[in-house]
Amino acid sequence: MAQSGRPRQAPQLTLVGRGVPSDEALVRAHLDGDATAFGALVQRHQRLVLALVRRYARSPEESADLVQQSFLRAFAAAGRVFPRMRLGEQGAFRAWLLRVAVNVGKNHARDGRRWRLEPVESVDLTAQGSDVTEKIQAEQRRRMVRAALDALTRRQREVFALRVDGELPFAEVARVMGITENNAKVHFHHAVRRLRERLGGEVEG
Amino acid sequence: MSVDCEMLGALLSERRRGELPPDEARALDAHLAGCARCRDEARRLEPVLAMVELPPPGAAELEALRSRRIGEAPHRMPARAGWQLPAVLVAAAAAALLTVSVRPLSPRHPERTGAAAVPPGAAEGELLPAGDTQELFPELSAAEATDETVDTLDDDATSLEGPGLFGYLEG
Repeated sequence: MAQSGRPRQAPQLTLVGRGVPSDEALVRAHLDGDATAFGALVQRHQRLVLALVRRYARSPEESADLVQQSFLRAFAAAGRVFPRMRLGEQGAFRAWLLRVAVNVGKNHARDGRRWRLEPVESVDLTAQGSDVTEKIQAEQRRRMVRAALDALTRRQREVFALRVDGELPFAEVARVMGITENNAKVHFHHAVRRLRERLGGEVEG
Repeated sequence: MSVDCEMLGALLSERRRGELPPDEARALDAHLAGCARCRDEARRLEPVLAMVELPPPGAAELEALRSRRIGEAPHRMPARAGWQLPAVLVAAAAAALLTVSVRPLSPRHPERTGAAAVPPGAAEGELLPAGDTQELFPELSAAEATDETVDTLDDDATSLEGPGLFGYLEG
């Protein structure tokens, strides 16, 4: 956010790689009033945000809703959070954004009504024969996993989301969470063990 | 290289994705060969790792996301009369969202505990400028600020609290 009384300067973007501004440079540009900087951040990260929230959505539209909500929250909080962000540290914005997305997904999941009254119409029944059966079974598994995730602690669930849904290496999971890599791995191990207990006989093998 | 049994699930996940370096993969195999408890645990956890994975997003999901045009700034809001109502709606949506998205006032900030002392929008950075919002979220409608949004705000999703966040924030 540009401060009053200070002459606005053209954003000085820090380049990474082949002329691509870093997230942190885009954050600085946004704070300096560059109207396109936030959009560039969205374009760069929306697929990862989608990956983190889509487990909790019933439809493609709802997935898009949650992505939009995540960025809307980030945009709304930008003026409060960005100036305090350690922009000299690469990955600071991404780590914060991913936490926002995980929390948006978690908050959405907390409303059980979204799932309870969700009969098979969410499954494409236009397919024929075994396709329908497979789709219904897949949907049932998806719901069981989602319910089992409720039994995880907050930290276990966050590590799980970043690792399984975000497909991040444990080093980055740890970075986002602000914990050590070994700690992230231990949390993940216990998360998977607890899921195994909850899913019980539904797990093959 | 030793294997920590408390990280077995993580190691299996890394092996499943082909992320384990060869030496660590060999260490894991050697450990499983010699540790019956971990071998049994691995047999039970590997199917869980397979079951919890989601398929990649389909075309419909990606199209729904694209159609939102989130973050795009295709146009400035024209100063035509016909645009005044949408502008009002967006402003209302932003204001309604703002009222529920502002982080609950913390005892650590006693100077900000009076709503009357902090008029809407006065808190730096906590205002959604309607024009910017429309540009960055062109598909945002007034409905976004209804209960569909409110019910996600029991926890402020952008809270600075919690593990990890302070590590990236000054002060």
